[in-house]
Amino acid sequence: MRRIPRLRRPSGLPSTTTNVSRTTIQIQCRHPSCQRQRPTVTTFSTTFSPPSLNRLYSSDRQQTPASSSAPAQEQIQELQPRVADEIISAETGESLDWADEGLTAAREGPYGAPPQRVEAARENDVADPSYLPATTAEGLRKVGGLADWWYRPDNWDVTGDFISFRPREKVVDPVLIEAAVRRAVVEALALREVGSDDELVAVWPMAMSKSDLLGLLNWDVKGTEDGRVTLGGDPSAVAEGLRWKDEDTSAGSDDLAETLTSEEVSALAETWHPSWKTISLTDPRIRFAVTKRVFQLTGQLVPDHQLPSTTTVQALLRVLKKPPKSATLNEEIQKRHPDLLELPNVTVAAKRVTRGDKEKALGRFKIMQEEFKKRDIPGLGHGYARKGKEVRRLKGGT
Amino acid sequence: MAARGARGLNEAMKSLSLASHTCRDAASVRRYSTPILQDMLFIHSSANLDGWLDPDTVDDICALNGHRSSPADHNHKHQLPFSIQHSLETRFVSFPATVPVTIFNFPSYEPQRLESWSSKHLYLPLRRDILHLAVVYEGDNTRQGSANSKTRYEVHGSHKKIRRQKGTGLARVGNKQSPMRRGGGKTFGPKPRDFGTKITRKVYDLAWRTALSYRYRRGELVVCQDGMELPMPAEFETLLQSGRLSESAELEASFRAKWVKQVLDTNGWGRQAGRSTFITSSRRDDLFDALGLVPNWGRALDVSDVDVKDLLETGRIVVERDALMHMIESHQSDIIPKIFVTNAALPSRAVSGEILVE
Repeated sequence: MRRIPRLRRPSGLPSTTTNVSRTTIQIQCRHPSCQRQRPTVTTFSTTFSPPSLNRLYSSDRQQTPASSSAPAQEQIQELQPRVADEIISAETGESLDWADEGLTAAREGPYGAPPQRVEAARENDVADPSYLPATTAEGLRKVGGLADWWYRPDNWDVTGDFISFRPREKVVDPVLIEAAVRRAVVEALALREVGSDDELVAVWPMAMSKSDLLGLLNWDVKGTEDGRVTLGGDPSAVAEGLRWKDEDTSAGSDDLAETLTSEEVSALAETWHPSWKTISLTDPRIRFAVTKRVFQLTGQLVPDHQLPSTTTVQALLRVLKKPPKSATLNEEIQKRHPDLLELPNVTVAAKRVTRGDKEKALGRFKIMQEEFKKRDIPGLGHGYARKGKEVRRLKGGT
Repeated sequence: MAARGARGLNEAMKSLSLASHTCRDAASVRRYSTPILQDMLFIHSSANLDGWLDPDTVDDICALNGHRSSPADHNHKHQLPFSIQHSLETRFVSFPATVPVTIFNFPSYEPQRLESWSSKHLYLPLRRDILHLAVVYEGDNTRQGSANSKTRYEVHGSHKKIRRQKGTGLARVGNKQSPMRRGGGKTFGPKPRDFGTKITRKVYDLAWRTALSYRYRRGELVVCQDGMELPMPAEFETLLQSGRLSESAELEASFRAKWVKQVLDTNGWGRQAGRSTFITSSRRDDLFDALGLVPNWGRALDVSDVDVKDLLETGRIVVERDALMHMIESHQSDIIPKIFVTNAALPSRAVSGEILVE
């Protein structure tokens, strides 16, 4: 009988490997310890920006001054106390506190329900003879509806977010991937050495202090010719750490929140014995444990059809380190073939260069628009034909 | 004359056979005629190797081993250097009878089990032509074919002659229903009909498994354990039971929508990842209702509503194990013999679902 894990247990159906039966999932408090091992994500593929030199067309995305919304806010702040004074419960004579801050949730768990509906007293029921009900919306404060209720941070706490087995951000840095693979291999082999084979397919906690992790990665792992592996460390301590604890140990430690950086790992990786990459993964149980752990740590999943060919650590690393395919040709050229950008007769554009873009690049577009205006011709597109005519007709428009 | 014609035809055939190869085809013909592949095709004369042999790989091996192919040694497979034969045998000859399939938990996406499935079920070579046949067949049979227009004999009204034949100075006319007149019948208009076409059942079944294999090979087949359902968080259920969300039905719906979006985005199955198709063996209320609220994130289908085209759409297929097994078992007429074979030495039917790691 395996233990029921408590920390950062991915939500889902009852696992067959851990005899837990639940119908609804328990959202557990996102304790700092739950987040501490979230891997560092490098952003070389996501924060990609093409050099502006290659642009042939002008862009509408200019820097806009951020002060445009300031007057509106001032007006609201000015209006707020006045209106709030007016909204007074007829029976109690007390000011309703939700009127000051709009609709606020009465939250007990991570999700907050809206307050109970309050009906204003009818004109006849108000004791004050000078009371005059509003007949238009002019001057009344807008409290807001429930349309984006769950998207307001007050009503949906981050502790209520869905927790998956896969980390939220995928690790794409090859160095960090290699570190995760080494950690997974050492952990799996340690469990095998200790003799707890059942634990190989269970869920392992991610929390580990940085010093412990560095120590683990620093083990002198060697693969020998005859397929045996020397771990160079104490496997029982690692195996103990891979068990889910019912009690939350080492809570609130800052050391756990730290993650390894790419530089630290690459400095460490130079000391690793190269034979660790020849460690065999032919045992399906070990391979399953390693790939599962790597998926949990990095979000990198080895596709099923590549599993049979990942017989060594080296093969696994090759699969995982393969950079993702570029989404666009432009991205591919910028990243992988920068030499093409140097060619004198080649221009690379991020999106299709249209007739208008060419005119804009020449500076002729504004002149053309002025001339169009003089002749009462639409400057952009066809003024007479609207888009989506068919769609409008389908929706009942004429 | 006949002799000339025959000679001309022969010449035409010859020129056709030469000209019908485009450069690319010619290259592939050259590659496949290398002795290595002759050798392999000899070994696997019965196997369909279209998807297994990558001409580039074979060329690579040739280059690695310094072997040059020439048309002269086509039929001399024993002249092959041993290293090539050896490397080919290790790479191609032992193609797998089974392939591994990871069974995930849903919705946590935790790998729970490794199973072995027959490669006749999930590792077939891609046959675009067969997929095309199947999709066209399904499209034909989906057509409603109910377009209908009235002929002159169905249009309502009197069939009286509009005016007399002669003497008015106007053109001669018959009745009001004439196709030439406004409001008259349509001469060759559409009538309800069946656009359905037929397909060989074995081809259709092969298309099903080819589509699944295509997804598998691209890593776009996520198999989840039985009983796939999208559980709502316990706190939300408490809120529902306390009646505090009862004022607005849209509040409950928007919660479900946000929750399912979050689940899909966290697992990399959502809108950014090209939507997903969820297939279960029966209708699961929470999952189906929630996905119905966010059609841009994915769609849910009962296994009885799935066809080949559905398997080829969207970014990935997230399928319940039971549903996948059902799809395969009901589409394997081409690999199950209709005759009863008692010889135990003969290969038995393809078996899937054996547990490797649990």
